[in-house]
Amino acid sequence: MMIALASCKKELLKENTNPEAVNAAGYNPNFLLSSVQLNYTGSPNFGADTWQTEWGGIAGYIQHVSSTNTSFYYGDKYLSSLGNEGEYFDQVYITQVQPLVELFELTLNKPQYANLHRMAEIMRALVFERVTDIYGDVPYFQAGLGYYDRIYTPVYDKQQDIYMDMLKQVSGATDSLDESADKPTGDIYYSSASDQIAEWKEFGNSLLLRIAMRLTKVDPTTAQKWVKTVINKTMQSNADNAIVQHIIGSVYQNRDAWVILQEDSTDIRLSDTYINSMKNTNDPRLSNVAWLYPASDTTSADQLGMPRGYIIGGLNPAFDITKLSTYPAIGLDGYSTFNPVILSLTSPTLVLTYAETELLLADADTRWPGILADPTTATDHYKNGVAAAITQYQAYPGATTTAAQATAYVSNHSLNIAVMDSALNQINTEYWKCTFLDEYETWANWRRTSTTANTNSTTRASGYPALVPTNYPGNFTGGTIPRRMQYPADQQFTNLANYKAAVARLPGGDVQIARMWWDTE
Amino acid sequence: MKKNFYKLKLIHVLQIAALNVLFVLLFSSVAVGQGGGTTMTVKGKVTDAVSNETIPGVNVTIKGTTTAVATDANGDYSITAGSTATLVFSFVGYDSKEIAIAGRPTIDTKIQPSATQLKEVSITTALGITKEKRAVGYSVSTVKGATLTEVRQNSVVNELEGRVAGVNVSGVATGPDGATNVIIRGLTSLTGNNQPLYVLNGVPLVNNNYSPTDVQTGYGGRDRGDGIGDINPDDIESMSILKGAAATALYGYRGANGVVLITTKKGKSGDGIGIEVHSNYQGESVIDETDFQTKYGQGGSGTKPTDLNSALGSMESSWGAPLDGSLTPQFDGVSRPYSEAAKGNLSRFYKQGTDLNNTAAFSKSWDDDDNTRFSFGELQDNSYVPNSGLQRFSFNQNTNLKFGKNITLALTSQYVSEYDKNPPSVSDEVGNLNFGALFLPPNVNITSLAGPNGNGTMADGVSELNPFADVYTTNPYFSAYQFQAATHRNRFTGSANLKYTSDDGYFVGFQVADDYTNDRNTNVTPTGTAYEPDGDMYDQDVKQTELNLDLTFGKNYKFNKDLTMNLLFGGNYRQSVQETVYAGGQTFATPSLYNIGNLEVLQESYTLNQEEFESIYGSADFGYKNFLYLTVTGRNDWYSTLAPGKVNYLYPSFSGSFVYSELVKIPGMDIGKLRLSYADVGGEADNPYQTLQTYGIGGTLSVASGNYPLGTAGSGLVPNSALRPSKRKEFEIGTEDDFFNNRLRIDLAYYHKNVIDDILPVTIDYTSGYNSAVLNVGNVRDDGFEFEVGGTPVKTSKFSWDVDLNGSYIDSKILSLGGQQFINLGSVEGDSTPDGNSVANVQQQVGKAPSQIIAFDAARDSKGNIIIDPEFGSPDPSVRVTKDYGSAFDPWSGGITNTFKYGHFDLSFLIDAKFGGKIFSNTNYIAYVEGLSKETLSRNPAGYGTDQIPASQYYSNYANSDVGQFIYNAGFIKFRSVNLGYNFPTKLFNSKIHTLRISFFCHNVFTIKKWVPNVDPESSYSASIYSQGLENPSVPYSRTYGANLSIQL
Repeated sequence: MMIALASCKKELLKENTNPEAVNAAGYNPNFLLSSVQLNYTGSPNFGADTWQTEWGGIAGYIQHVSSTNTSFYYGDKYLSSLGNEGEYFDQVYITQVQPLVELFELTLNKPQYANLHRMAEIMRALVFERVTDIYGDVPYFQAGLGYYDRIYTPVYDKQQDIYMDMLKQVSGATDSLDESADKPTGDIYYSSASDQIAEWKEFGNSLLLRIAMRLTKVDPTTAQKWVKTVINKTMQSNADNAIVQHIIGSVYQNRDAWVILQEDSTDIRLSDTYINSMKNTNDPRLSNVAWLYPASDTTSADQLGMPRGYIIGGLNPAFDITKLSTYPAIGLDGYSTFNPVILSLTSPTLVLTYAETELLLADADTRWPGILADPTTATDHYKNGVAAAITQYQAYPGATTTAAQATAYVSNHSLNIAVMDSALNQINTEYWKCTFLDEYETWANWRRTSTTANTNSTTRASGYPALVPTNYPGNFTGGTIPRRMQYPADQQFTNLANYKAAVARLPGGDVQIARMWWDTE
Repeated sequence: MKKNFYKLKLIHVLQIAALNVLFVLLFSSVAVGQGGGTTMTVKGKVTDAVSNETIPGVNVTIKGTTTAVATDANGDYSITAGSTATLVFSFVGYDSKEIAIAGRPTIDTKIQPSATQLKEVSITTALGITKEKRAVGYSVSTVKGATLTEVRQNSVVNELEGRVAGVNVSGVATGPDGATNVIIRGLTSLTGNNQPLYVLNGVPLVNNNYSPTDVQTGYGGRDRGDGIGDINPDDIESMSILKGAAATALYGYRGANGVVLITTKKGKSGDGIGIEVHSNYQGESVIDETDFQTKYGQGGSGTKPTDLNSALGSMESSWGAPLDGSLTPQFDGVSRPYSEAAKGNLSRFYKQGTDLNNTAAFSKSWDDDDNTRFSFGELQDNSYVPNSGLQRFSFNQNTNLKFGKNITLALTSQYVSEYDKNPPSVSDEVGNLNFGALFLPPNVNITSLAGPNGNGTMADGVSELNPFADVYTTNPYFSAYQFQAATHRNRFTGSANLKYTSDDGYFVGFQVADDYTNDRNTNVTPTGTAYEPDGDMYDQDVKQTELNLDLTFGKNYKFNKDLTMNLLFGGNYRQSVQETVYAGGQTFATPSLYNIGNLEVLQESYTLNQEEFESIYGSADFGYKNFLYLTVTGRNDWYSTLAPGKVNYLYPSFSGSFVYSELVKIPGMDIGKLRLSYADVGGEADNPYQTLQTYGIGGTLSVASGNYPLGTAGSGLVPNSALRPSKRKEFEIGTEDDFFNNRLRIDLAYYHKNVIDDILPVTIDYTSGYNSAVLNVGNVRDDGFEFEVGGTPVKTSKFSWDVDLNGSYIDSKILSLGGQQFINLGSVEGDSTPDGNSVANVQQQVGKAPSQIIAFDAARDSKGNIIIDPEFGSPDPSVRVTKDYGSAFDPWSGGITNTFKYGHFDLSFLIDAKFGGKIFSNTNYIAYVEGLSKETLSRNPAGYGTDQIPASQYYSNYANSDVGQFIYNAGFIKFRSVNLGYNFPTKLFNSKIHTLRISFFCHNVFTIKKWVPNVDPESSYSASIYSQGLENPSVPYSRTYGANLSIQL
């Protein structure tokens, strides 16, 4: 009997594997890349993280949207909302970092997954750049290693260390992508492209440019060093854009659309800053971005942005939106909201685009004349970027922007390269419009471009475009636009010591006005 | 579907019955058919059944004659008798025994020492090994089958409550097939399974309690029963409860929570044809524990409903006007007098239950080693819960055969077929029929909710007549008659045990045993349900098998007249497989057609849990001169559920007994014994596959550019490739003393137990990529004291009085949870809390006894008085604080049984008690918030505080600030049961009937003392560790009463 038992033991007693589940050896790690790419567009948890952090907070900070609802859309008035601000942090490590770590480990030192492994390294920087830009110091080197290294309370790394590592990793991984090696099938961005690896090289270099340009204020030397390495290696057209298509289904749909349209359509409106900016420049995108919902009115001239910093009713008439002379007769429905062309359950997510890349190159060449050392000037990059930002709407079914409209818009709004501040303002205001719907990126770039050269006392701390903050009673920032978000409260229960160490490094503590490493005055 | 199922089941049952009957008849005809009615010489040897020593001087008589001989110095006898005659063996101090000769020339037999003398009583210990009680160095409690059958309950272990020291039994208020929570000597696992191992005739039973919904959140669900509840009490000869680690050491990891050994009846010899019949009939009725106010009726802010809508909206609010008898609209638009109508709602809604049990057994024995018993049992419980019931058929067969003088074969089998109809939903589960029935306003008679069809539907016969504005409170009639749930169970348990004993005393045995259960669990939320008009259903098929192979060998040595040694070695292989196929979904395409194929949205799943274990074990028993005994055991286990590759662990145990009365003669003392033991046993992981990461996909994104399966890795729980068994280390000291010819019996035990390395899910920081990790970190310490004192104060030839008293105390403390301060278990969601948070939950906390109940307490000043907010005139719930109110477990428990015998009459009754634990009563919380509690009677119509807030809000503020007021002392003293029996004199029937007994009983006679108002303190809604200490409306308390009839032919 014991001999018979010994043979049984080999199977179950030595492995304890679920016969109905797959173990690491038999698993195709490509599936994990798909998960990471999809989850980066919004959390699988019905989009709760993207909504609460991105739309509840950030989109209000940077005046893409306005709301009279003080609890869900706290960002409009710079209120504190610990749970909502921390929601992205709460979700990203489980839904993006964990599968990324698995993707990384399952492809490590496996020649058949050489390119997939490089893509994991590039995706890692894409994921962490967003997290650190929201909060500052965050767990990075030890993050997601609960299973592999039994690290249960990861250390918060300094943003500077995170940035230096991301630059190194993305550069190394991008350079190592190999045309003769594997063509990962789980790659939603480019697996159907004619030259997937070439696309990834451009994606990697464009991301590297974006990471490097974040250091504009804090470490221009390093920024310039890396910008020089990507010249002529970044995306060349909208065909190179990294895009995730969505379909109906709780896991697959556009998760921003799910929460904004399905759950809270009455509470969120496009802001007057944003609508007026487009109206003033006769922007062809406006009729695709905005509409007046009750009449399905997409006429640009009819659009009305909601002023920021108001509520309905309340004790102080100065903040009661219904007391405004411009308050629409039909109430909140009279303010423009998201046009379903750009926000529906099946709308694609634009992850990283040619347009924003070109605008960053224009910024670099304006800021550091001659750095590009190529025949293309800042003006040309600006033109390319602005035109692409208009034509990239063609990725949205039903969008109406045309190449002709783009050409006309560019010729009507040419870059005033003679005055650096004006040029930077123009470039980054276009960036602010171009990255609409990727609110994290808009906010980070706006903070990156803030400058003491700004002489306007109300917008002194502002980047480009110059945004006038509101000063709603009881706001948590002294009437200034937040520079970061607060960590989730539960970090004080589950990772207290590391949390405390990180907060000690923040000037002023874990508050919205504390400035993170790259966001110098 | 149901009819068809019955037909199939009946055929199945009949086939098995036929096979068994055939087997028994064939065998008995062969055995009985030997020889004729001629005169012959019969020889044989008589030995002591316990010590195996030969007995000289035993009287051997031919039955019905005066012919007799006695055994010689070697225990041998020789007698001339007719080949069909019966021999009677009798000897002082032993039970007499009859054996039919049946033509056999040699009849060796063993006779059993009389049970009245401790020094000769044997007990069953681990692996079914029978030992002299004096040789056992740890506490073992034995309960006779008769104790379990007279005052009968559907699950036999419920009858252990209050009877065995250190065994905490609590029934669960979940209906006729509810599970039982049995915890022996405190918790062994802080978050997992704590139920003991049940072993039926050497076959370990699967005791899973499948609960499809999440008991962890306090959500409740339907309790579909546990494994031990399937046993027919009439088949049980005795139960041995092995409490300490030394007692269970030979079971290794499986015995960590204690072991209950169940021995079924064997075939017996007797004068008659060997047929016995037991019938039990009982009635069951609800005990209404509620005592709600009858002054104010439904409504809000002191006003009564004025129209249909306000009546609908206030069905969960008794904040109306004083009852004045005026005609007032109710939920159905009908106006009825605004006067008291709710008293007796529980009795009107719950029915008179009936429970009928019948067992017929055929029993035959030819000699000691050849016997058989076959029984058929039937249970029909039409529960007092409307439209709910339990039906069970059970077959039990126990056959022992001897081939030649060296080989024995034991065959046991049990088949159970069970239909559990509509096990009620309990706790927060939507569709809980107990919920609506309990909280109706004082002016509403529940029968008005039955509606035109009597089943809680509207005139269309489909849609729920929902009397509540809240669709999640279901009409209790609709829950009872329209919701459909069932568990169909088929279970086969069988074993074959072959043993060879050589002439010189070596033995080798091999046993194969299997316990197979197939459960089909169905649940239908019908079309027309208010909260889900399109309906949903699921159908779950669970197959569970457990195979055990055991090989044992050994020898008993006797070195000289003083020193003995019994050696045993064995190996066990166990394989457990659980396979679950699930199909379920929402929206019936054709309304009211409840078929999986009719669902528009369908989910299916298949899960397979496989576990494998190997063990080798050995035991050596040393005996010196009848007074000093030592047992040493060792067991090495290999686990598939733990760290792969490093999975074997060796566990030792030592136990000794010292019969000091053999050395020191104490006047009046029959026997005095000291016990001492220490053991270290391991506990397994509750679930397999926690050691390695597994991978899968969670859907596929199919877009124009391609199909992208979405990868998933793991389950949010860090697998632990270094998982070790948990360890239970236990030291025990005790004494057993008998005085005055067994008139006073004392058994005391003290133990110190330490559970270390308990396998717990530990919360970790999610930036690690995971929410929790499975770690070996729990550390709990228990100290306990147990006593069992028995006495026979009066004993004459006609009258006797026996009294048995038992009690225990346990002091438990959690020493460590691996760095974290607490682990959350279950919680009760408060419907009306300001923030929607749970109002009470249960935690394991470092430094405290297990299962601490946590709830909110109002902000208090330095003197401890509640701070009153002047605006509200009451405390402000937004400034409440959490507080720890104590453990859910009662440290003190005990019971006393008195038995009187007078001639043919006997009377016994049990009083039991538990003290020291706490319970959060959500029933009382809800009754308070809804204005049903008498505590809410002093209502100020002018409102409270400067804000003049209404009474409903005022009391709600109190309820939600001082939630602690709904946490009560969970203790009780209950007059648990009484039983009066009469044994008819057999000579009345000219010896055609050998036993005729009739008895009457009552269970849950009355509660002598309790501290919780409106509910019974034993109203737990689940046997799970997650819900202990939390009461949430479940099936109300009940009383059963009835009669038993036993006949032996």
